[in-house]
Amino acid sequence: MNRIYFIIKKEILEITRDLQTFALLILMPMAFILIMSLSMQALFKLNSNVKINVIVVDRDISKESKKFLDAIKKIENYSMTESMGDISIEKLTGDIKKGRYKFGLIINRSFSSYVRDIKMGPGAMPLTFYVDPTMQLPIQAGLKNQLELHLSRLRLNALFYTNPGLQSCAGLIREIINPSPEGVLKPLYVYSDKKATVIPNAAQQSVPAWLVFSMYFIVIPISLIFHTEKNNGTLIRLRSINIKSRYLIAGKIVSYYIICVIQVVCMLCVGRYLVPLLGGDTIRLGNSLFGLFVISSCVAINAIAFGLLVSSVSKNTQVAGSLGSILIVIFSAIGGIMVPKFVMPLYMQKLSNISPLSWGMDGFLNIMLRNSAVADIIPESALLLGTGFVMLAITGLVLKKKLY
Amino acid sequence: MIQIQKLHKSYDDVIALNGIDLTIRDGAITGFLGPNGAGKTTLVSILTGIIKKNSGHVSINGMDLDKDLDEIKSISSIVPQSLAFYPLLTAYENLEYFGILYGLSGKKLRERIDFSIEVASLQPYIKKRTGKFSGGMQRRLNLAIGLLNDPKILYLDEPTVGVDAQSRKYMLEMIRKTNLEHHTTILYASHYMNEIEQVTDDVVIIDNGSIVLNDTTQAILSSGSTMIIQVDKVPDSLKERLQDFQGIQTTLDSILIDRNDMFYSNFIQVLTLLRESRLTILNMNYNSNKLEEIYLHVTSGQIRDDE
Repeated sequence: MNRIYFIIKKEILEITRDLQTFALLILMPMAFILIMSLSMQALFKLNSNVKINVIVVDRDISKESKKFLDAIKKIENYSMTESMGDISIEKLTGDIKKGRYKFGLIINRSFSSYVRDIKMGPGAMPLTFYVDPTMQLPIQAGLKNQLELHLSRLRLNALFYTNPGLQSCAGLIREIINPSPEGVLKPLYVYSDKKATVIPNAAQQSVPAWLVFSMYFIVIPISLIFHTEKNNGTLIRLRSINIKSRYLIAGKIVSYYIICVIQVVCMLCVGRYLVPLLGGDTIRLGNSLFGLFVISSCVAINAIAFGLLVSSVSKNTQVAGSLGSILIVIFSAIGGIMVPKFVMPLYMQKLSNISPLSWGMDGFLNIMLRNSAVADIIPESALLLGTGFVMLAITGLVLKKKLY
Repeated sequence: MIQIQKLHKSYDDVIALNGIDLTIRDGAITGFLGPNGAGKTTLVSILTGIIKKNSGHVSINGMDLDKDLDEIKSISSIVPQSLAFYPLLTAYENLEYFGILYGLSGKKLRERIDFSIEVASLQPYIKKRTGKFSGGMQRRLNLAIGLLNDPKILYLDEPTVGVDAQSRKYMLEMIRKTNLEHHTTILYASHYMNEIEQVTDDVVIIDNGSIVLNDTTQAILSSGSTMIIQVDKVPDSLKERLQDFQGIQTTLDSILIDRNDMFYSNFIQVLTLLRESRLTILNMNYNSNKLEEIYLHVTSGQIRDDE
């Protein structure tokens, strides 16, 4: 035990005294989580104070267009700027190109006729909608749906107004068939414990992915120390000493495991305590701290085994660093770290199941977002541990072949 | 004593050790010489259990390398050519770490650390990170770590590479002192011929995986002494006539006569031939770098490249 203790102490001293590596492992992921959480929160948050600018030109100037304008000005997350008088299409598109506005909306002269006359089809072109190509499709779709909703409401109102008999004939109450702008749909989040009602925030949704992503970068110090020992003769000295290599490997695994746990704790602390201090949303850790510990440990062991395998098959530190980083990025992309899995094509979603980073992220999402317990993350944990041990076994075989 | 019989090791198609037989005396310092890729490192790696042999038998202090590797490791130590310690750790932390790995603990560990620090003359610097040490200090620490377990057999691979004259002199003294006081068997690999001359009792020269010379240092140096007769240019006709004589070699402008049993007759013969060729002797001397001459002679003097 004394030997293992000193091996662990040595490894930890080496990592913590190498400031660049230490920053890469601890400080950079913390900064990463902080930046991602703060910058992404407005995108997902309801009633955000970040608004997307929309320029609106009313060429109809009618009672209907006025009502429409009043209604769309209340749409959340968008700031509607009404132009002072009519402006040319060139001016409007020019402003969008310059980035002053992300969307442009022209209320055409046919608008009031279109609202009043239920028989007119979309060919009447009551609205013209301009979009900055940099805007993401979900945001475009969100605004488009809102505009169409308000237009439909206006038309429905006009229909009942011009045909009062229609309403009484059908026995309808206008307020029921013409719901409030807040809508009738309220999301009910499906948590494992069936108690929580907290709405997940951007930090909550992004932290698990970046947490797993950062943990795999343990490959850098592992390969650095591994190849330094190999190149400077320390490995020769170690192998000439009467100590079983399993002690040396176990010592390394435990040390890097401790580093990984510190990494996780630091990143979660940033999400939980620092992000709210800077105006962001705090992250919840779920209902099972033990589950969080289990999935963190499984990801850590898998990441360490990955680091040792990459180090053992690489010729030098540079190759190990490059190979390790490239593989992490590829497995991240496949595994839904960078792009959510649900937006991927079906075959890519199936492919994502081969990525250990995907298993790790799913495990963290289960615990932190779905309030799952340890039992719910057994499949992910088993996959991570299983492949971790397979990678360690391959590392052992590679080293045996290379060194003896 | 180390006894090696028919030791063979190859890497794929490359033969590193070609069935060598060798006995290394107990308590002696044996110098290992050989061109790059000759098989020195492979031999030391097998003796220290770092790599496995293909065939042959090795006995170290009466123990079988195959059966008693753990015991052999516990009485051996290696000082690699490169600086085999951790630059981010202090000298004390490095010594403590390797001491623990050697199986030392408590009072014994502290005593051995103190001893090693003293040997390496690093007392004022033990709390300093070793990456900030000078080249000489790093070499001394490298050696000191190898002495931690009070080894019965010590393998030194170019221990003085890149150090200044003072540190080199100090280290050679320490190596000799360790050998004398602790009766340590030392295998000393180096390319510095003067070091081998100074510090070793025996010399083994390896080339192409075989031992090409193995004798006491004294015997080799006395047998290898050479007289150098320098002329303006040795003509080809004279070279042809001298090539049949044992113990005489020629270069572009010199004739080398080995100091062996045939020396006087060879010397008279050379003088006679020089007179016949009407050549003037420009200089006549004994060679000053005798071991190097012998080494180049037995290893055929060609440049070798490691693969």
